Amino acid sequence: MPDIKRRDVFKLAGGIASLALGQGLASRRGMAQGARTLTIAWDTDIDTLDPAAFKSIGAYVVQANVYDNPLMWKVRPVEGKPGLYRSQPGEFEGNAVESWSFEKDGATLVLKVRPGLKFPSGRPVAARAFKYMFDRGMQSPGYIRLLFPTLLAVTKPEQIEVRDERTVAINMPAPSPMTLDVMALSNNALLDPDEVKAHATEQDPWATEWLKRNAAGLGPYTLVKNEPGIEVVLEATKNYWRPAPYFQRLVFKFVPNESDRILLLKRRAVDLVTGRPGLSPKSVKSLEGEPGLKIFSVQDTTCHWLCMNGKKPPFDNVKVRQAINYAIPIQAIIPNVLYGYGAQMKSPLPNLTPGHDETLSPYKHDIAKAKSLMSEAGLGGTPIPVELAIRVGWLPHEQAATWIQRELEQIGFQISIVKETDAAFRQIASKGGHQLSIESWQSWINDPFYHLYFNFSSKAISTNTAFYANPEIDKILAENMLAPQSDKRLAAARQAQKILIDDAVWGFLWYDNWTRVMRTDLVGVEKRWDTFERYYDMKLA
Amino acid sequence: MAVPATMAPVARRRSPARALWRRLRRNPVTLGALCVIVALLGAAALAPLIAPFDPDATDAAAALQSISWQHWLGTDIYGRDQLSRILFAARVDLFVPFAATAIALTVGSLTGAIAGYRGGILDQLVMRTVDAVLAFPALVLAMGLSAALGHSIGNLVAVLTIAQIPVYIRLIRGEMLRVREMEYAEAARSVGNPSWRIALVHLLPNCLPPLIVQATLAMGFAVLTMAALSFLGLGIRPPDSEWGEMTAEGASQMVTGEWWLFLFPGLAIMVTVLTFNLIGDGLRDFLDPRMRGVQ
Amino acid sequence: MARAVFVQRCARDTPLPARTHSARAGLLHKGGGNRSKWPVTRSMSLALYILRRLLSVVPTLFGVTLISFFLTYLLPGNPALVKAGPLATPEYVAEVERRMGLDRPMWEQYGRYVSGLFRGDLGESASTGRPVLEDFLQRLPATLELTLASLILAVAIGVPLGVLAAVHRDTWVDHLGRIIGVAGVAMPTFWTGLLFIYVLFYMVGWAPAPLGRLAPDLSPPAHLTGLYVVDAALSGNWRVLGSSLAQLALPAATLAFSVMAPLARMARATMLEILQSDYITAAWAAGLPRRRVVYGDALRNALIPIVTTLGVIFGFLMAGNAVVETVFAWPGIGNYAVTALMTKDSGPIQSFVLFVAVMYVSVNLAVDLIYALVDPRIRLG
Repeated sequence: MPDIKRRDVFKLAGGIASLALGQGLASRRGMAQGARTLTIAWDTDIDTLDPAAFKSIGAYVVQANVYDNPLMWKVRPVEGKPGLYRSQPGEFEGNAVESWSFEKDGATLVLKVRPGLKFPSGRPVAARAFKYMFDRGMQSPGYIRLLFPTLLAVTKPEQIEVRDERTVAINMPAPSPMTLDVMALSNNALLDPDEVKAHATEQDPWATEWLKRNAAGLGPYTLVKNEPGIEVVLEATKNYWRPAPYFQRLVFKFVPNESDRILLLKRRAVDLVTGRPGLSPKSVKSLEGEPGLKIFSVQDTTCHWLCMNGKKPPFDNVKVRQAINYAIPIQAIIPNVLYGYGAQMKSPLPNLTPGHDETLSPYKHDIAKAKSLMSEAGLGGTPIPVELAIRVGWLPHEQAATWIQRELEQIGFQISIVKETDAAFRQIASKGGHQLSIESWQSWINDPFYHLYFNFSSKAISTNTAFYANPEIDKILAENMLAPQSDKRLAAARQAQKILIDDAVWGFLWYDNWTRVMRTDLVGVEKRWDTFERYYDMKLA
Repeated sequence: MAVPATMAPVARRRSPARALWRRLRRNPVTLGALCVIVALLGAAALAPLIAPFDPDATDAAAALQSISWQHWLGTDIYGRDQLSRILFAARVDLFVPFAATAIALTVGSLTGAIAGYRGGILDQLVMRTVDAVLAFPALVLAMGLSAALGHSIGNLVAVLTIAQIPVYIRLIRGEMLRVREMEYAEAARSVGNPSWRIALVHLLPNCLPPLIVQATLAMGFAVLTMAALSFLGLGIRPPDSEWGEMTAEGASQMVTGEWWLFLFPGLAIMVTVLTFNLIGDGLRDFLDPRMRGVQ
Repeated sequence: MARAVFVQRCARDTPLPARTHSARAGLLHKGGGNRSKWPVTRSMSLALYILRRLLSVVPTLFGVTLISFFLTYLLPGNPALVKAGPLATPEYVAEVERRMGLDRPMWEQYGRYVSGLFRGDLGESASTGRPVLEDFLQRLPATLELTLASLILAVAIGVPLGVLAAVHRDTWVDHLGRIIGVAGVAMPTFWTGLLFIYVLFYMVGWAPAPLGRLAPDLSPPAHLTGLYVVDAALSGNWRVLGSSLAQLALPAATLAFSVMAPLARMARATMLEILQSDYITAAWAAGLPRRRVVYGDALRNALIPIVTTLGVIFGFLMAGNAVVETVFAWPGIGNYAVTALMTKDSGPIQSFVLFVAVMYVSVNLAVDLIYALVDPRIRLG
């Protein structure tokens, strides 16, 4: 029998004791059912889980956490803000894909599937899953089928080629600067093809009805509960190919009142508030210095502007649009609506986007100039009745609208503010029914031409909210959209900006910060280009 | 108390106005309510003259200030003076219920009078419809109608009118049933008057007292309904200010401590409804001697 | 308003004597003459009355479905567009319209609607994507709990207040009661709720944060009825019981406050009438102890009009629910309906409006039947 020394016995006893103590501490920290839970309050619902469809913010957040994507944007720590990480341009890492390479000078992207991945059903993840994912994106009735042709010039399923069990190739006619960004989009959700196909029908070959309320694929979390108007619960996927996340349970509580969200934060009843909008800048300001809470706020690419419908007079007259830009009381809006959590918009391109030039804009609050421009356009005598549409629940928009209304009434408009719900707003906007409205847009891919295309191309019908059509802009877009990154491309972006600013296509308002209020000890918060949090890396310090 | 008909020739020499004044003096509450209503109506009518600020004038520097000598009731997030906004909102909050009540009164009593007098199928049809509409609580009906019809002032008047008409129909019809068998009705019929003339000219005026009481009380209720609709976001749109909508805006600022924004508009609603109710109560005591003994 | 509504109820034609003040007073006074006939024909006329009353509900319900259908028919916006999504092609939208039956004539759509009602198909909610019936059933317990709590509170405070005011007429109790009653009716419900929250939560901190049915760190009790108070009591979960009662306090108080006034006034008026009636005077003259007379027989007779008023109040409660649930973020059907009204979501709007009307009609029916069974003339025997 081996010699059992007294030291070993003590070591063993100590080990057992510390184990028991650890368990005791763990149970005292009050974990529900033994799982570490992160409680989040939001003001949104899941309307559809179909990766190919437009969806609410809540549905995007869930999608980003429940499905793996081929690539992910890498993140790096932010200086001065421990616990916060953000993406830098051009940095990617493989997620469901282990490695990638280019052929034919960048015209073909070759993806190597990570080996050993298995869907929760037990079936292995192979290249055909990727093909199915891309095919479904391009062919099902959603909007993803716009992205591939526009950004990659991939229009036919034949361009997506399965070379072998682990290799997928995407054959583009020419290299595109946005190829890897497209691969990192959360809409490229790794679906389990067999599971989805089992729910397809003849009228619904892509199982859009079933995927609306179900998720079936591989991701760090799994949707276990969806109670509309109450809460959504995600739990860590068992046997996920990466180590288990710190938070094994995510509870998203639906809290429609902003006052209630603030109260919940103050009482530490929730750990984080998210959404868009999650908390208005005024509320964030009131939480500054609150013990136990911290605020992460970084500049972001979300644009907010006063949208003037170019197809409805008098907004088809450039002088009127310029006059409005001179009437916007931006010097009152920035401090009183944003409280420092945003910056003035001086260009249609976000200030973090390559090619942004803030020196081009002459506009500032100048009522006299606005009035003279209106009279140059032959207007301003009798007040023109106009409706300014905003979305319910977007407090900064509501406030900005009131400030703007007051000023516009001084230059010859009679403004009535109309509040619409998200769905109604989008419906009316897409049919061109708005005269004035406050819109917002966030480009998931931080590329100037991505941004310019969807907002200003005459072909981007459903996203070009101003119904702007300028052959010059279209020409610049066509020439440079898929051209490789170069100084020439940036110069073209600058030229496009100048045209758009002179044409006063938008009523320039502001760029939002990405702001989140959370408990002080939450770290591992990652801000990627699409702004949806991924909770896998979060932990308590 | 009402002067008995047999004494009428003597009573006419005594001025009815003085009798009214004596009654009012004995009932200080009603008198007070009348004064307040006159003041409210005056304030609403004269709002452009007496409001210290332009209700839509924004002032970034003065945003979110509590009550002060400069802004008696404080300012909101845009720096707009709350007192001025409340005064201007009074115009909407008094006009819409008044218009709705007036229209509902007219249409309702005419319909009820004719239905009550004629009886038969017309009566049954009208009463069944009224029953169906009255199965919906007034606010719920108003909510549904305003979602369907829209947010303009005209539509709101229509909504409040539709919600009130059935009550008047029922009221007048009930009175008409009571009154149509009386002697003067019989007399009018024997002379050969057409039935509509009998109903509207001879009988309806006798049904008026409960109608007037009901109308006054209904005004208060209409103000409450309108405020509730606007509070829920189904009523008036900005820039028109309205007390219910102002209270809703103020409610969202409560968590950051700005209490004056929700308190004063709601107080204005309460004072208005209270005065209408008190006047209605006073009118009822004045006009209907039967019911006086119990209260 | 209670008075006005009361008059409205009186004017409806019912086979039993109308419930006007004078008529009721007459009821109490009527003694002798008809009574000998009653034991023979009472049950027959009662059964006949019940049958007639039940039948009269049918055209009302028919009218109610017509109105709720028409309301949603008038709603702006195309539900097919919402369902199809913002990027749908016009052909897809037309297809969805066909599937939803929106291209059919109005009367056919109404027929579809009614047949759907019988099947339990109340349509779909555009914002949750679920059948409305599912949403309703999930949220109904919350509203039920709030309504019952408010009703209990209103009766428990309002009726004694009215009775005391009548018994101690023209004293300070009477005046206080009148002031509370008058103020309660004049204060808008949403303002009362906000005032309660501000004073009792923000200022003195007695009430819990208005964050829903339970404190945020507690989970609901085992589901038996869906009423948290009942379920917690039944499962012995005292912490949850305490929390749910605390969260229920403010919203129930707000709703109760706005319906207390008609109850108190009715109680007072009825009590006064009875106290002045010959029957009671006779009882006193006969030497029966005052307390027994007042709180015994008089009160029992006073209860009938109070029950009648409850039926009327129910309408106010259903309407007030929508407002109170919005102010307190209470997850019931009122809140659901207000959101649906904002988003012009036709399925929930239709169903909510219909539900409220059906509840109101049913409650009034029940009240009428109870009244028929508890006719005071029998009591006087």
